[in-house]
Amino acid sequence: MLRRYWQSWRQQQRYRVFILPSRYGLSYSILIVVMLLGAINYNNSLGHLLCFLLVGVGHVAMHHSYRNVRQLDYQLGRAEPVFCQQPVLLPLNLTNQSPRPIRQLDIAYLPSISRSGWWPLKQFSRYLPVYKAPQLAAEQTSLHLIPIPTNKRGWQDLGRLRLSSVYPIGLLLSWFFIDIQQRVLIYPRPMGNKPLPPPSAMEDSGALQHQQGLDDFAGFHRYRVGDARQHIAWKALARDGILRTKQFSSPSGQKMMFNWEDVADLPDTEAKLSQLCQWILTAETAGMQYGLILPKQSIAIDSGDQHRHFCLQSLALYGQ
Amino acid sequence: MANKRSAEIPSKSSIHWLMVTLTIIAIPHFFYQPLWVAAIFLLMMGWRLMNSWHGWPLPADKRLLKVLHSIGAILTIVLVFYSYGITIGRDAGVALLTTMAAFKMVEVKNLRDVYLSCFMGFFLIITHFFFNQSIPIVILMLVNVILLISCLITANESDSSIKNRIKQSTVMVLQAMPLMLLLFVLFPRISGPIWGLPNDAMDIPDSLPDSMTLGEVPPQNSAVTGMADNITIGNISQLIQSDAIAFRVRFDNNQFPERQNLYWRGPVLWHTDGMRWLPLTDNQKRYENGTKIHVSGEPFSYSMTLEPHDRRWLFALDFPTDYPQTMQTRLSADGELNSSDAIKQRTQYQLSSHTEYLFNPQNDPYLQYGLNLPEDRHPRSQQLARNLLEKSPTDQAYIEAVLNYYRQQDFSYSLTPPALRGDTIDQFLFESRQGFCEHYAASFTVLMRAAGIPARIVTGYQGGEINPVDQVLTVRQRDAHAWTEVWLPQQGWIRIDPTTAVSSERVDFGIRDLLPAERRSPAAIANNDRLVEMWQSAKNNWDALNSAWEMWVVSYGPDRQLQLLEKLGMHQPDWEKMIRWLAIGIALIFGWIAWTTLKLKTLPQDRVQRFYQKFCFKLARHGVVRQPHEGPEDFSRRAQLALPQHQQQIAMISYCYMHLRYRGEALEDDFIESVKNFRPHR
Repeated sequence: MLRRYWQSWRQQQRYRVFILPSRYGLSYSILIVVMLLGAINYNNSLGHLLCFLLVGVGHVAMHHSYRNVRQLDYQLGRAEPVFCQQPVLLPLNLTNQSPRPIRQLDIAYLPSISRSGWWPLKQFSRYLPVYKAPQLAAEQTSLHLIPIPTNKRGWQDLGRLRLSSVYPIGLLLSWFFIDIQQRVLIYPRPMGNKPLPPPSAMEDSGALQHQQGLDDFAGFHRYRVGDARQHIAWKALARDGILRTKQFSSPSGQKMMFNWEDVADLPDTEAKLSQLCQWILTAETAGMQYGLILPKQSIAIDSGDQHRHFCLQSLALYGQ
Repeated sequence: MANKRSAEIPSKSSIHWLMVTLTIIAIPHFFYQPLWVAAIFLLMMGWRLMNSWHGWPLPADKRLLKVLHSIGAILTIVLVFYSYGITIGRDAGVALLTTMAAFKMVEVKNLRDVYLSCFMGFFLIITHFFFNQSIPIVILMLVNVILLISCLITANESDSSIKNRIKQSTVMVLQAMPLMLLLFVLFPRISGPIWGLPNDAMDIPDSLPDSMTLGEVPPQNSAVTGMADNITIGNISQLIQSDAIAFRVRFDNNQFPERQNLYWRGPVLWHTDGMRWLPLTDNQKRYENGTKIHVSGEPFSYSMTLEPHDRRWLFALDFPTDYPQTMQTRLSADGELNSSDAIKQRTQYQLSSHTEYLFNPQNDPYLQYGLNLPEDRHPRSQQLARNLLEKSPTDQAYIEAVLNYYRQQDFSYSLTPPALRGDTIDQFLFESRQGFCEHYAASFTVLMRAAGIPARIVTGYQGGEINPVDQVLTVRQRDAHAWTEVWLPQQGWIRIDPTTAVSSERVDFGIRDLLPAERRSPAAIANNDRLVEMWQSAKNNWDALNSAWEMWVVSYGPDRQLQLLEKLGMHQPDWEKMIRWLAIGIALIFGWIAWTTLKLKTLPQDRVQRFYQKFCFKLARHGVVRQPHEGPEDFSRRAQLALPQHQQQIAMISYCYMHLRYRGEALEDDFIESVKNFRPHR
């Protein structure tokens, strides 16, 4: 019986809550000790009473603080790739299961988990405060985008979040950890002001009419997996229930091939990658078709989100 | 992280709230502190208020103001030293703390400062107790703590409304009470002081004078009036003005002596210069084997709770026949019970006394002192003594003759006797003839000594009031009294109270009936007997409450703690046992608070939601657990399959629930009713 309760209780505990007095909590306990010494010295019974009341308040504050973060449930979403030095926006669903609001939640981020030293508080200084949720309404779920700083291209292992609160009176800090256990792709930072290289002329222009482009509407074809979502003909779908994709042609659709050689004059690899990244973005927004040639890899000419991601991924992972 | 938090700028509302709180805490101190303390405090609060209302600059904004602010603070410290002297005592400490809290308030600019101010506030609260430990002041303490906790809440969450923050801090303080009480009872008490007390650590409102002077009212020395070693006549009649409590007595088994025997013995006075009466000097005083007491009758046992009077004497019912066990005491040869230390705090001791006794019937070491009279004083009194002695065959007859003299001449008992000049005894006996107990005691002693009968003055208290509510006898300063003892061969020292010759009411009914009506009850109701009666009964209850409060809360110390724990059934309590019980109690309270704070989890505030959860819970007990992804419809279907015998009920409840949730139709009562009646079984 007891065992069953214990197990069901254990199952509810998705995380372990830690609680320690804050700086002010330590001062508060020193205050109580000093006051108690005074009360003893003066044989002042009511002085004792006040000290004990403050001890009681501290004890109650501990329970309130624990309760405040205890009844939280969370679900992590997937983080989307971002450009370097832009924050990763990690979707975090916070569910307040209790009939009271959860207050003063601070979310901090630890870039990499490394347990060094015996003093747990030492690690705290390495946490970056990234997000504040002043109040989570009772019995509600809310979505929060936690900005996580990035500073290097390539795969970034998302470390650990610390959800903490000093509620209710700032004497105690309760917190728990969420290990994100995800990695997210960081594209190079788009940068550089070199003009686009001249369009490649290796294909004949006769096929231009059939070339799928993005500018002018040229009819429908049946949906195929992989078609861009924004090209789906939703209105037509509402009419007859058949999923179609709008076809566009781009008569002016230029084909670009971005070559590693084009940026050879830039000083270092990161600047080269940044310039290539910038070109890809420019080309994509201008509706051009583009390809990429890197020293050990080349990507054929194409366009679209998938293609863009593919190109940027190669840049992000270049040399890794 | 912590550093970043402390740099946060507190909101205006939290600053205002803190100012209100500190002011409420400081106000009680203004009544006995010099005016400038209140002035500086309010000035600083006003400055801060002007800053948030009209944007006046603060010290942090302008260099000049910063300098002025610091100079102001330094000048205030100098002022404190100037007013109170160089040693920081109780009053000076409070003045310093109050003003410094105000100076700090002006420069509060971040969270750290707010916390510092709140902590100073807690200190200010505890200083109240050095002045007053009554029930109202403890209620004020609770209010103050609630306010300060709400300040801390506001500092962390500036947008909480006043109602919310008060509610939350009240809840916290109420939940803190059990632990407070547990610690109060069981935390092993240590008797102080640890490092010594400043001189003004306690208030002694009134106590018996240590000498007696007939005649002009002597200059008052400091706060201490009271039963003094030398009766100065005039002193006791001043004490009559005071309703302060001298001590409380609880007689075992509620067996009270006769009212005429309620003489509470205090200092004994021997030496006189015609004006002043003084006790034996320390050299003359003897303690060991000085007294031989022969008792008869049953003793009265009682416990005394003596208010501090900063002297060493203890009071005892005439005549004490054992010693208090709980403190070091000794009985002097002239029948004074003395403690080894001055009574600086409320003290309790257990005694027993016999009211029928013979005191040194064979011999007494001090008989010679009991005959001394100053030469060439009181000529008319001496003459009177000789006249009366001629007519009296025996000492007893002489004593009776003197008492008759008081009775037959136009002597009267007066609380406001005229001032005496010149030879005070002669003037009293032959001219003014209005006097108070000290006049009668002093003049009677002179007449005895003039006739060669050893006599001495005993001061103390007479009577007291028995509160019918708790059967505690309370003796107040106004019950102060002086009487005479004469020594007769084979009879020893006999108590003779010459005041009774003039006013037997003083002893038969106590001083209270002799007081003017407005001292007995408020003037507004003095004419209405019924109201006076109700007032008296309310007063009795309040007094009983206060007496219990002072006995069990205010004077709860190491001795009281052991006493109480033994009463509660702890066998031979010591600190190890206390710690053990304390640990058990703390664990229970910990569990209780954890339970109350976390149990709400399963009870959503929405009624429909709550009952639907109950429904799910009932099903879960039979193995049908609703999965997080399952809507009510899917769950209902699965549950119907699992418990086919309840198919209809499950369908009904789920249907109602979905309607209530998604269509809002008024089936709520039906729904709740059917959940309540839902009792699944396999």
